[in-house]
Amino acid sequence: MAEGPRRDRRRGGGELPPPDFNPDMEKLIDSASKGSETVPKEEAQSNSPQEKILSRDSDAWVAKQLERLDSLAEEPSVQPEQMIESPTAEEIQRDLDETLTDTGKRTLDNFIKILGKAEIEGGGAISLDWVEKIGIAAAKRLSGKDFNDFKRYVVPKYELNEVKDIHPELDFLRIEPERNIDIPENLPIGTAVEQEKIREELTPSKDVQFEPATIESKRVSESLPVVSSDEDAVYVILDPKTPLTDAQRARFAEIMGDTPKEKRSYLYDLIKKAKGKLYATDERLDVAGASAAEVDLEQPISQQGERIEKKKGRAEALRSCLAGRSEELQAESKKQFGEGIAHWITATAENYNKLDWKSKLALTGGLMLGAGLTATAAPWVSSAFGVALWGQRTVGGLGTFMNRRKDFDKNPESWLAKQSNGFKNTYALVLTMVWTMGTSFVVHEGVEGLKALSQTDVFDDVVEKAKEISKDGLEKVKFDWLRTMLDRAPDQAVTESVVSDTASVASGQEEVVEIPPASPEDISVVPQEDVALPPLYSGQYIEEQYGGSAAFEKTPEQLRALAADSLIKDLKPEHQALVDNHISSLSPAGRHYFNQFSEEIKSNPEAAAPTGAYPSAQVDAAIDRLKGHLDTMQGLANQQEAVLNDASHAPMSVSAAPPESAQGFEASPQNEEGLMQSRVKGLNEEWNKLYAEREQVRSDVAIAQAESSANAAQELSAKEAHISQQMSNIKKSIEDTGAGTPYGRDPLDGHPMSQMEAQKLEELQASMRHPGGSHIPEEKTFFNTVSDWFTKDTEARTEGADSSHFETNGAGLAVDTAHANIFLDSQNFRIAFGGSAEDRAREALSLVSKNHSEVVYFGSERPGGFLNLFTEHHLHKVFWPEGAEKPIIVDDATEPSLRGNLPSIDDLKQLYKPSK
Amino acid sequence: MQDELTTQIAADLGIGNLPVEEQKSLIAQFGEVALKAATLAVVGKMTETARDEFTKLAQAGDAAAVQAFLNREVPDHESLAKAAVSEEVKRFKAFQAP
Repeated sequence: MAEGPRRDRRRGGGELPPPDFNPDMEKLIDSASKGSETVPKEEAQSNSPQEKILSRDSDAWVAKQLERLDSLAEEPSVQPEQMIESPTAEEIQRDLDETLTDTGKRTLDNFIKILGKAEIEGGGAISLDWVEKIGIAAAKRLSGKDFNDFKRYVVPKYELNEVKDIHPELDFLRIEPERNIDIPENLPIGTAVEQEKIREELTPSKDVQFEPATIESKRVSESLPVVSSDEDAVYVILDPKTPLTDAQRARFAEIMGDTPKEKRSYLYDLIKKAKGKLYATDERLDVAGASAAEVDLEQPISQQGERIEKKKGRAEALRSCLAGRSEELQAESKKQFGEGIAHWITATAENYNKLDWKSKLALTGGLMLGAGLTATAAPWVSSAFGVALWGQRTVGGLGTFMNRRKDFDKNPESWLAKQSNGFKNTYALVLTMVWTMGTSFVVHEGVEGLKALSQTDVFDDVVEKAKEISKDGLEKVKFDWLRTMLDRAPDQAVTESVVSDTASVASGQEEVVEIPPASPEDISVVPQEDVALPPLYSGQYIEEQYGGSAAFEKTPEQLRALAADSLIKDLKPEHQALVDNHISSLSPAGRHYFNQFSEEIKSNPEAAAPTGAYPSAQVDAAIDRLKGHLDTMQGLANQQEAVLNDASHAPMSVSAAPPESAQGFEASPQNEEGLMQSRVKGLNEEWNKLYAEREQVRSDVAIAQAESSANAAQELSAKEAHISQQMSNIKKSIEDTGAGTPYGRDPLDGHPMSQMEAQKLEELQASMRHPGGSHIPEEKTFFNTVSDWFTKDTEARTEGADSSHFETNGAGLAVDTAHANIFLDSQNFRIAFGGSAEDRAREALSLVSKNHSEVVYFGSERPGGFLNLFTEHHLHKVFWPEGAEKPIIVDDATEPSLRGNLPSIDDLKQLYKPSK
Repeated sequence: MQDELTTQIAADLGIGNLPVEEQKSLIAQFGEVALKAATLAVVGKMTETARDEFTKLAQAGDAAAVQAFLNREVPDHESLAKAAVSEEVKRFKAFQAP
């Protein structure tokens, strides 16, 4: 009901405090008992209902009015002659006393109480809407004669006679013809002229808006005369004291749905809508409303009520306990430390309460994890403990990355939707990094900032804010550079990348890749010289050329940056140590490039200037690494796309003519190698896409079969077969290239995890931590350990630090679990899942074999597991038996003796220990 | 992940048999109590001067500075916080005891 200035009907208009009907119960009751006594204008003006009501004690006032109402039966009417055509209040009361059932009497009492309380709570401004709703709420419990008597009492008293003509929902107020009561000219309140005014005012207006009757409400009204709206239905059904009739129950089922779940959901929504309005004054209904979701409609009403009351009561008691404890702690802080600390603690608590549920859960979980109570809690909450206690950084970098990455896939309209997964991964990682760097802003700005940053449009906000709070200008330069890079329009970026990559390869000449600086004064963004390097940098290629797979630990851009940074003479010791550490970790191939870049920079410093990263060396190194990945991946994606386009028209051959889109891409030996790599990469991606699709189809088939949908199952099975055939063709194509099986995912896709793998990891972490998640204790322990490593490692790398990654000493790690196989090395984390155990084993092993000739295996020996596949993949079998000082390499002859002799966790930790 | 954590915390708090929405409400409320208790425990170990400095740092929102300060002034702050939270959990569960 719309709020607005209310007019005093009794005095013919004018904006006055009195509401649509006289809200002053004292006067109403007086009027009813005394006949046509009108309210003097002077009194109404000088002593408004609000003034009187606000000064009252509500309960005492209600009690007083009830007492006065009761007394009406004993006191003779003062002017009975004035109520000739309408029963007097005395008559009504007597009539009611004689005819009302106990339920009716109770209803009437409640009505009076509700009306009184509502009047008080509403500041005396009870609207017609309230009368309507309260009247319905009260009247619905009556039936037959009781109800008619009730109407005879209510309609003239509260001037509802015309309302029912305007608002069909109130049609229930129509009094039966034989007992119909015409409103007398001299109503207890108001004159004839005033009544005419009332009629005018009762027409719909902006001040008094009635909801139009709906078909649904009309149907409800027709079939359930005493229930005039859905909300009433809820009221009735939740009223433990009012048993439902069969007709009502059937009607409710029609309205709310057939299943208990539907009914509960419907009830819950309605109650939520009704709470604070109609039922706000009825505590019993409030209780019932809060527990609506728990109502089991199939249970007897009485049992429902008991159960609801019990649970509700307990929860309320616990809430009170916690609220009391919170106040105690607050008082304690004030007593012990004074106002200052107490105020700050209050502010901290307020900040906490502003957090969304996820953040609260993280913080609370972190606190309890710290208390050692949830030892198996997910690792991400651990970051909430400690710093987060007084800061707001409750969501770690990994979570941020995952959120950003998922956002990209959720929004098909995004320009990112057309980008490769690798590009999206990197973009998400860049955003995460920006977020991480923007953390200082977050903690400065508090919780609101955190919440804002959690939105999709985080990037611009962070950049802008980070620039604002920049202290020395370095931050501004970095963010401007980053933004410039990322703000390039996708098409433009692609074009630039294609041109730069392919043209430089084709011509063999130096090509300048121009990245427009954010502002003229930004000296950190300089044109970079494109050095004649192989177009693709796969582990395989590097290994062939230089005999060391570790060369790919850094991209050429990273190596160039490292070379540039190494030439800075006045580095702080800790930054110098960082650079030295990177240099010392280079493989022979990496050092080759590093030296090459160093010489180039020395001879032409401006062509490859130092990054200017220091003193924020780690951050800038991360930016450079990401930029390198981004450009490399974009180039790969473009070439791959060109190859795939061409592959659909031409037989697969390394000597296939270059596509038109790869302008100037000549088929030199190097480029042939690159072309092959791109082709294999594209086929692998296609295979993986089909693999995921097939998994989904298989799941759908199972569902269809479970639901006995034979036709659906048949169609899905046909689809599955079609996909399998496509996969088989791709597999053959890949094998024809000599690149092995199609199960591997190219490690060049830019990020340790794909989205699917990330989701799977989350599921695995949950399942493995569940008491029944694995039947192999060692497996569970190990998986948890590895996933913790991974999480920490990823967080560290997300932070832009290279200092905590795990050294693999050249060996890969393969873990065979009951649910999935995982693979880990210093750059990648992969999960093979779905399909058969053998499929997973093959996939994991294929992944491992991409970059590693040695594999540390951990898992249980089972048919189809890893062990049977080692020979197939020409891998050494590396085991680390308990007690051995170092792992041993076994062959087919020794393998049986080692079965069951798996490496210990400690040994694996030694192997995969953090570098720092 | 969230559901699992909610379940675990609810179990730790002894409210696992309540409806999920009630669990969440109580967990959120308990978080406030735990936060206050942990804060009081740590602040209580500081000198008055340190408290002033700590408050300023915390209000400035520099989490790293807060962490460094705590490491220096109250080296065992994590243990203190753990103990305080643990005590609150016990208190809460004791309230529920029949």
